[in-house]
Parts: sequence; C-alpha cells; structure tokens
Amino acid sequence: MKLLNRFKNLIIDKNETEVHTKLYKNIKENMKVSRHILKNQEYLKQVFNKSNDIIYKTLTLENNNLKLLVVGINGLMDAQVITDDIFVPLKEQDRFKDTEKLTLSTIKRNLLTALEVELSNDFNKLINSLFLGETILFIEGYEEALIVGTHGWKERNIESPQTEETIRGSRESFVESVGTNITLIRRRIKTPDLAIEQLKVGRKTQTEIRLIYISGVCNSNIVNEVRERIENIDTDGVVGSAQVEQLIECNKWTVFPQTLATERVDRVIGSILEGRLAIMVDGTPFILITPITFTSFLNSPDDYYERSVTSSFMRLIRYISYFLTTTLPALYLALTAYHPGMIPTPLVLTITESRIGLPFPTIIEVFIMEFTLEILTEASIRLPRPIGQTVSIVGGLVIGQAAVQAGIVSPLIIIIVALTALTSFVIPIYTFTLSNRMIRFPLILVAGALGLYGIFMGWLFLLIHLASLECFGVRYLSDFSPYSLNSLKDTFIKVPQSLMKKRPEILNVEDIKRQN
Amino acid sequence: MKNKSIIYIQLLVLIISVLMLNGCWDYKEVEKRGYVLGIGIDEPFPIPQGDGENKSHMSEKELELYELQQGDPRYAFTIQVPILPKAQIKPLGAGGGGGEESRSWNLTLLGRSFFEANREFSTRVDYMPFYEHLQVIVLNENIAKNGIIPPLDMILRDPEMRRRTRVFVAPDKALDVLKVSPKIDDYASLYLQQLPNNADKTSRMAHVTDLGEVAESLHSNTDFVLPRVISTEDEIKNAGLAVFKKDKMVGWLGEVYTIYTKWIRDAVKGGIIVIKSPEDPSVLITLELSEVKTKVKPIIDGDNIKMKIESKAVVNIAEITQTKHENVLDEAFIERVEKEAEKEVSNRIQEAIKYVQKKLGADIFHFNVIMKSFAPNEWEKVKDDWHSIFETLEAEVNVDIKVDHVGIIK
Repeated sequence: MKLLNRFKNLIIDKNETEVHTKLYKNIKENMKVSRHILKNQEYLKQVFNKSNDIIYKTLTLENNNLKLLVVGINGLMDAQVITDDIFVPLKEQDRFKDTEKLTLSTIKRNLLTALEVELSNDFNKLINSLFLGETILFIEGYEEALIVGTHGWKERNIESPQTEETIRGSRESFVESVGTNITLIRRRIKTPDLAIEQLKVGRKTQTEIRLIYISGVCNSNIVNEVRERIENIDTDGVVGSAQVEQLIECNKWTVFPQTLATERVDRVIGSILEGRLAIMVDGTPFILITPITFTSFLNSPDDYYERSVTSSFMRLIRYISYFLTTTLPALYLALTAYHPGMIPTPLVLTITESRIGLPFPTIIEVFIMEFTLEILTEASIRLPRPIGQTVSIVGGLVIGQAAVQAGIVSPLIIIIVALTALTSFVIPIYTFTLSNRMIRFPLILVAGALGLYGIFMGWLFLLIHLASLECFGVRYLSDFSPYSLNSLKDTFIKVPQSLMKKRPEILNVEDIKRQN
Repeated sequence: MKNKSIIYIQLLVLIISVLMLNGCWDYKEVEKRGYVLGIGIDEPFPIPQGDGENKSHMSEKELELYELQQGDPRYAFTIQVPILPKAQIKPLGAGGGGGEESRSWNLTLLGRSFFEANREFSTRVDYMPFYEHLQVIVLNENIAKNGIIPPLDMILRDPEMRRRTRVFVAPDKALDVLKVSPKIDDYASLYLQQLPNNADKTSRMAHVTDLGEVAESLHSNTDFVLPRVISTEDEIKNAGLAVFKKDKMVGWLGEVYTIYTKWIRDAVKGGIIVIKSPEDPSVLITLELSEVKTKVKPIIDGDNIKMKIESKAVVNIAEITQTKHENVLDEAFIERVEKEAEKEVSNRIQEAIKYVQKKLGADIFHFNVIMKSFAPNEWEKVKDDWHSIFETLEAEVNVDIKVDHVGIIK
C-alpha cells in the first residue's frame, strides 16, 4: 500500500496541480486575441518560449491592405493543405484590385477551402488547436482568429496484426492514430447508434480517448461507470492504453487482466456487437474491451470463422492447454516426488532411470528449466528480430540438449518445460499469457511443499480468487456460474452461429436479441 | 490502512512459512525409492545361497540371516527391485536393455515378520522399499499349505499395498520364479503380472486373482483359487490353479479343469474347447469361445439342495482336423457340432465338480455365495456344515452353444 502511494505521488506532483488550473505555465488567464498581429505573435512566442517547432509566417495582401499571421506547429500540419486551402485562395483573390475588400467573415466564408474553419478569440482554445495540428490565422485589425483544420502527420500504415494471428480473419489491425482507428470501426458498423464519445486524459499529454459502443445495446450503467472513471483520472499524462487500463480497473492486486487489449479490428467489432464497450486511446494500437470474462481470453476470432464442431474442439484444446501451462510442471513434481504410485510402473521406471545420478532435486530442476524458459522468452522479445531467431535456436536446442548431456537436468524435464512453453502460446491473448507465469511458479512451490494436496489447494485458492473478481458489475467467471445455458453456448464449446440468437446475458445488455 | 497492510504482510509471512517450514514432509526424489516389483515368500531354505567357495568375501549367509527380536525364522522373504542403468544419452540404434545381464536384484531375508524383514532391507539397500508399484506376490506351495494369513498380514494391512497386485502360487521356490530373467522383458515381476492378460486367448489361467480378491475371500471365509506359476531357468508359465480352503491350500487343479472352473464361475473371457467331430470321431473340431455367460441358481427341494448351472456360449469354428473340407454351411452339420459341444462341456463341468468335491473339498465354485444370495433362509440352516454338504452336492448342467462364424476357405 505504501509503495502504491509513493508511486501515486510520483505521477501527480502536488505543485503541479495548482498550475493545472491555468492549463499552461505561461498562459495568462482569459487572454484574448489582440487587434495587432504582432502583439499576438509576441504573446505566442512568450508562451512557447522553449518550443522551437512553432512556425510564424506573416503574409501581406497588398491590394487589400491586409496583414495576416499564420501560426502552426511544424510537422503536425499538412503543408499541402495549407498551401492549397489558405495561401493559394488568398493570393488568388488579392490579384484583383477593384473587388470587394476582404474582411474576416468573407475570408472565412468564401476564401478558405478547408473543411473545418472556426472563429475564436480565446487563446487557450487557439493553443489547444495548435497541438491538434490546426493552423491559426490572425488578421490585422480583428479581435478574433481563424482556426483552419489542417492537421495531418505521418502515420503508420494499416498492417496485419502482429500479436494475434488468425487464418481466416481480416488482415487489418489498428494503428496508433485514433482517427484512422475510428474509420476502421465505422466502416464496418453502419448505424447511427454507434456511439463514439470523446474524452481527454492527461494534463500534459492531452491524450484523446474514445468510448465506442452501440447505444441501446450496451448497458448504460457500464458506459457511465467507465466514463466517470476516465474523467476522474488525474495524471500528467498517459503513454498508452495500458495505463488507462490500469487506472480504471477495479482490482489492482490481481494477475488477471480485467480489460482485453486487442489490435484486431474484427475482435473489437465482434465485442461491440455483443454489447461490450471499446476504449480507444490515442497512441496505442491496442483497443481495450470491457467488461470481460475469463472465457474471453481463451477465445480467438478464428473460432467464429470456422465451423462450430472444429472450433469447439480447438476451444477444448485451449482450455486443456491453459491447465497444462499453469499446472504441468507442478503436477510432474507432485507425482514424482510425492505420489510415484500414481504413475504407471513402466513410466515411473523410465522417469527414475532418467533421473539416476542427477545432482539436483526435481524441484530445483523444474525451477532451473522454467527460469531458463522465461529468460529465453524475454530475450527473444527484446532482441531485434533476426537475432531473436538465433536466440530461440541456441536456447531451445543447444541449451536443452547440452543440459541433458551434461547431466544437469533430466530429459523429461525438457519435455515438460517445452510443453509448458508451447501450451502457453496457444492462448490467444498475450496479456493473459503473462498471468500464467504468476500461477505456474507458486503452484510449483506448493506442489514441492505439499504434493498433489498443494496443487488442489492452489487451484482452490485460484478459483476462489477468480470467482471473486468483478469489474463493471460483471463477474470474471459469470459464464459458468450462475448456470445459464445461453452463456455456456460460447465457452468450452461454440454452438453453431444460427443457435446464438442472444447476446451474452452476463453483460446485462439493453437489447438481448441478435437473431430472429 | 496502515494496520491493514501490516496484517496482510503478517498473513503473507505466515503462509510462506507454512510452505517452507513443513520441510517437504513426504518429499522423496523419484530415484531415491526402491520400487519393489515383486515379493516372493518361501520356506527358509538352506543358506548360503551365494558362492561358498570364495573365502575372501563373506558368504551371503551373514547378509540373509539376521538377529530376530523374537522367535525364529519361518519364512524367506525375497523382494525384487529393478536395477536401473545410469542416465545417459544412448546413441541411436544401441537401444535395448542390459542384454544377458539381469536387470533385477533379488534380496532375500529370513525372518518371521515381513515388516521386520522389510526394515532390515534398509541395512542393505540405499533406497527405502516402496510397495505402491508391487506387481506380484509369489507364494511357495508349502507356505500356502500352512496358511497364507500370517505371511500376508502386513501386505494386507499396509497403506502402500495395492489391490491390483497379483498373487501366484509356485510349486517350486518363489525365489526361482522371481530370478527368471524373461527373454523379452526386463523384470520377471512385470512379465508375470502381464501374463494373465492373455486370459482372453486361453482359459487355462486365472485372471481376476489379485490381492483384493484374496483379502475379500479371506474375510468372507470363502474358498478361493490362485493361479499356479512354474518356472525354469529362463521361462515362466502361468496355468492351472492352486485351490484354497479357507486360508490353506489343499491342492492343485489341472489346466483343463481350470477352464471349466472358470466356466462355472462365469469368468471365461475367451479360449477354446476341442470336441470330436460328430461325423468322424478321429476328426477334432476346435471351437473358439467368443462369449460365455453362466448363471448358477440353487434348486431347493425340502432338504435336498441342487445347483442349476445354465450356460450360454457363442463359439466360432476355428479349426477342423480333416482331410477334406466339410460343408460347414450345412445347417444340420452345425447343429450336430453344437449338440456335441454342449454334451462335451456339460460332461466336463460335471467332471470338474466331481473332482473338486472328491479330491479337494473346497467350494471354489462359490456355490455358498449363490446360496447366500438366492436362498438366504436355507443358507442360514446349512452354513455351518456347508463343506460336508458341498461334497455331495448335485449339479444340473444346461449348456446352450451357438456357432456364430464358421470360417470358410475356398
């Protein structure tokens, strides 16, 4: 608890909270736009005295006797748009001497061809729009300035998903920009009911957040709760969706993620249609889906693309894999060290044979190899991709083979650890895979201390914990308990699409019907 | 808030210390256990077993005889533990076991109490004997004849023992059976344990005679049978039965009688019967049993008790020793074969019952169980002198045999 408080203090500096009311340090409150563009420029320069990337460009329209000041942030604006929509129309108009004199309103109405043009005299607003990549046009003699929508910056292209591969699914994944991501969703859900709420988080980062859901389907209490939590976030900034996830989640001290972070467009679409809520954070290609249950992490979009019998089988494989990846090393340890009577005789003789003369007890052996595995996984993520391959070969093959030949570990442990690793990659969601380690190691410990009894105690503890987790009014295990046939249709098995006529009851959706 | 976190930390420390301080109570490395695969119980035989000529070493006598706390040695207990070669990467293609070398180690101790001997083994073996993988118990005939409860008491009592352990009786030394190193398996015990799995091929061996059965029979005071095992230097044979009356062995039952004993007990899983051809007695027909179902019921007529044995069997014609092929599709021929087989089986069943009644006097057909369940009132009257009644019990045998597949070669 103390640690957490200290951590909080790091994020929210108390001195800064007072400044926060003024928004920016150098900004005077209620500063209005001046008649003189030079004064405005001076003021902006004073505000941005340390920022070198602000562009000031003065423009004189001689025939109209007008002086203009164009301000923008380098790199955030689209230079092409500025030329085409601001400079060219103004210069074009200025060639004719005897036409009507240009005024602020005519410029706004007739000349600027950009899509979004707005008038404002409030410097706070102007500065904010600068950050969004808009261009500000000050005109000599007017106490208002024009905000021209010229934002446009370098974006990553839409690529295929990096962390969640599917065979038959769409190849599109989200990118870092909220705008692009919204279009990816909007292109697939063509209804005015699609709600896209705009929120902002972070005093310094001003990170854009969008809540996306279908109004009239998604439970409005959940929407209100999430909105309130996001609005209550008081921090200087967030870097990605993971921080937002942690700031709004209900249970801080659990290893299980309470929102599902996915970069797959189809997964988000599916979840929104089911009546869930998507939280999009600018700067991260991972969209958060909430409320979520245990089963969601073991579902893959592929399940919905394949026939129900085959995907049900794959689901079963995944559930078994989940059990294996968390419990297999512990089970091996408990069975060999405590209950060798439960292993068939030929197998126990083989295991014994492979262990004769080894220096370490089984529990140390299991720990050594599991630790090596974790180091390998971590190393192959950190390293550049071409070297990562080498690491997995060196680690997997060479170390494993050498460790057995050197007589440090038994060959069986290599099989167990390899199986643990393989089964952990069967789980479709990476954040959930991470939580498995936090279960696997304590289970090995209790199995080493108490045998099978320890494993059962461990799982009992785990189940109690899982059953007590609740976020946004939805319990983590609510698919299984209380019993409901409807919610079981999409858990261990997946019934044919035509039989899934209702949305999941557990989400308390406002409109439960999906098919007639 | 502060208090709460202290409580949490204290709780955490408690949980961790519970895990750490129990010292891994039952933790035992898998290779640190001596997996006892077989137990042999013999009469104390003349010692030394080992090489008496070699004077530079002690003879095995010093090892196998030990000072007992009470009484004098009455049994020679042998345990068989596997000799596992050191772990090493074997080059491909060089598999296989130790070849000529025996892969099991038989340790013998003379003693009175098995448990005492068991603990005495710890003076000779580095590993704690571990009995959960015990496959077979081989009893010497003379031990069995003197009653099997005393030598088996610890085995029936110990929590490490498993019901599925098979029990055999050997006319020779039990040690010799365990000493055999089978040609196609590493350990005599495992080999012997798997032999009765062939009961669906031949009915000459018993297949449901494990330690649990023995315990049940001993407790319910019913007579029972155990399979007979004989051995040569490098071979084991499991056929025939040792017949027990209460806890004492009373004699052997031959292989053919074994078939029909199993037939009455409704324990036939497969096997064959050979009959003479109804057309030519010099031609033999071999029938393969595919399904045998037997029901035994008592018929009580006043004081007279009779057993009605009704048996239904489905057989296939497996072989006909003839020079020319008979038309097996001829229904009349099939019917005659069925009749002949029925006659043969019911005669043999009668014969087996007579033999057991006269020579052994042990109710191994479990007629007493039948009485108890079908005529409980009568049973109360006769149960005290059941054995004398059994010896003169009449049986009515009805066998119904159907030929299913005939097998044609053209």
